[in-house]
Amino acid sequence: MSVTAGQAGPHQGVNPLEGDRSPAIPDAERWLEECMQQHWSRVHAVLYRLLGDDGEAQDLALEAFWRLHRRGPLANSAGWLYRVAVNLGLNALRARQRRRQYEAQAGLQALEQTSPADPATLLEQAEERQRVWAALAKMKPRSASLLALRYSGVSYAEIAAALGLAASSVGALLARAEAEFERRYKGE
Amino acid sequence: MHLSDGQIHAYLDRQLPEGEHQQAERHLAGCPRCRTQLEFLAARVERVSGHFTALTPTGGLAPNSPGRSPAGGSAPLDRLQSYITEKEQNRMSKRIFSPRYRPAWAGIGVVAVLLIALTFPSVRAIANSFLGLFRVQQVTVIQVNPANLPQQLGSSAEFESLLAEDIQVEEFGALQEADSAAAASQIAGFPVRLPGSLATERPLLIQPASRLTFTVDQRRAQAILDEIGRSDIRLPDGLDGASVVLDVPAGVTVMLGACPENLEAIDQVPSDPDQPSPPAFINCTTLSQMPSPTITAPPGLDVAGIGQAFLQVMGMTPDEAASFARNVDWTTTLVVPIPRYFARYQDVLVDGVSGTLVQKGEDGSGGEYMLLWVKDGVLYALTGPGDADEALEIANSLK
Repeated sequence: MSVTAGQAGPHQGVNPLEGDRSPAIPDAERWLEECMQQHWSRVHAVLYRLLGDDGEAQDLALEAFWRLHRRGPLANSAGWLYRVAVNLGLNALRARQRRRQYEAQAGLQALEQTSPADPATLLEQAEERQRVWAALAKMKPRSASLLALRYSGVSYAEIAAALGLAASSVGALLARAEAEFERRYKGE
Repeated sequence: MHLSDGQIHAYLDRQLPEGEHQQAERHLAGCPRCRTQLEFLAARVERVSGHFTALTPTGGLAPNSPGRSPAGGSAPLDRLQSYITEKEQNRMSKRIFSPRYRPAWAGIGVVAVLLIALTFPSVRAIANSFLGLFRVQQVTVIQVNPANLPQQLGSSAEFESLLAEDIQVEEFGALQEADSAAAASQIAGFPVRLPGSLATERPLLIQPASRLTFTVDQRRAQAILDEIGRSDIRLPDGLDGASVVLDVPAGVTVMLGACPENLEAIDQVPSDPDQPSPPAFINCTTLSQMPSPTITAPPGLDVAGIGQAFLQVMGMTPDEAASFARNVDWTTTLVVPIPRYFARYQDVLVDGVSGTLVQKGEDGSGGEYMLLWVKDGVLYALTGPGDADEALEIANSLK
C-alpha cells in the first residue's frame, strides 16, 4: 500500500508525531461526509454478505469509516475501506464460526428477519448461508477477501487496490480462491 | 500460446482491458483447448456465484432500508461522529482491561511485544544460526499515547497473513481443570499458589504449554512497515528466514467472583483487538501464573535497537525511545505498554518483590487494576475490581 496521505504536515492540535498520518485538510469533516456518501452502501453490502445481519454490518461499516477518519485522507479511500471492511467482516465471521452456538442463533435471527415465505425454503437458505460462511471462515484470509469482494460486485481494479495486488493477477487469484472455496464447501 | 486461467477468468468477468478482451475472444474462437478451460472455469464461477447468492439480502431485508440505514444523509455522519468520540475515549482502556484478556495477559503481552518488536529489527545483520536466550525476569511499564499508535496494524492484510502464515503455534496438550493447588501444580509442573484471602469455588484452569515459532518473512515485514506508514524504517538484508521461538510454559488461572462461565470467551486470543468487547465481568478477579516465558532468537539480533524501534512505534520520539531503550535489559524485561490518560502505574512492593500496579483511569480511580510481578521465576498477573489496597491484600495472601 502506498502512503499517499503523508508528508503534508500536521494540522492544528495534533501531536507532531502524527504528522505523517494526518495531513492538513481544513475540511476533513466534509471529506469524511463525501466518503460516506460515495462508499457507505457498497461497504455495507460487502459486510452484509459476510454477516447476514444489518445491525452488525452497520456497526462494522462505522468501524471502517472511523478507521478511515483516523487514517486521514488518501488517494484511494474506496480500496482502503474495502480492505478494512472485509478484514473486519472476516474476523467477525471467523469469531462467530468458532462459537457454534452463536452461529446457530445468528442463523435463526437471519431467518426471523426474512419476510415470511415457504418455511422449508427458508430453512434451506439458512443452511446454505451457514455452509458458505463456514467455508469462507476456513479459507486463507486473502482468498476469502477476494471472493467476498468479487461476489459483492467489486471490480478487479478496486479489488487490486484494496488488497494491494496487480490488477492483472486478480483473475488467477480468483480462480484459485474459487477452487479452494469449493473444496472447503464440500468439507474437504 | 494459450490463455492463462487468470486471463480466462478476467475475460469471463469482462474485466480485461478492451484490446485484450478482443484478443482473447479471437484466440478462443480458434482454440478448442482454451474453450474447454473456459467452460470449466465458467461452470465453477456459476456454482460459486450460486452459493454466494444465498448471502444476498432477500425478500424484505434490504440492507439500506430507509430510516435504519444511512445512505449518505446527515444522520449517519452524526452517528459516525459520536462513534468516533466514544472510540477515542474507550478504545485503549477497553483493550487493556478487557476481561477476555485478563487470564492470558502475561502470555499475550509477551507475544505482542515479540511480534511488534521482531517486525522492527535495527540495521544489523544476523550473524549465524547460533541462538541467544531471553528469559522474562521483570516487568516494566511504558506510557503510550493511544493517538500515536499505528491504527492500521489491526486492519492490515499483511499483518493478518503474517499471523496466519509466518507463525506456527504448537500447543502441548489440552486445557485441563484441577480442584486444588496441589493437583494443578502436578499438571502444570511448577508450584501453584492461591490467595488465602479469597475463597476459590471454581476449578483451576491449566492452560497447556505452547510454542510459537516465528519465521521472518522480510518482504512481508517491510510491507507491514509500509502499511502502517513507517516506511522510514528499513529492514536489513539477511534477516529473511531467521527463526524466533517463544516458549510459553503451562500456566494456571484461577477466577474469583462473578466470572464468565464460558471459557471460550476468554480463552481465545482475538485476532483483532478492536472487535467489540464481550460483556464485561466487572466483579471478576483473576490470577494467572506461569513460569517465565522464554524467547530463543539468533544472537546477532540487536535487541536494544529493536526495543527502541518498538518504543517509537508505540509513539515515543526517537530521543525518548533511545534514552529508555538504553536503560532496559531487553533480554530479561517484559515491557508492557499502558495508555496515557487512561491508566496510572506505580511500582509497589508485592509478595516480597518489586511489582507494577496499573490502575484504570487517569488518576487511578477507575476501579480496576492489574498487578504484575515476577517471583522465583514465575510471572504473576492479578487483575480485578478494586483499589491498590485490595490488589495488594490478595497478592500478599498467596500461599
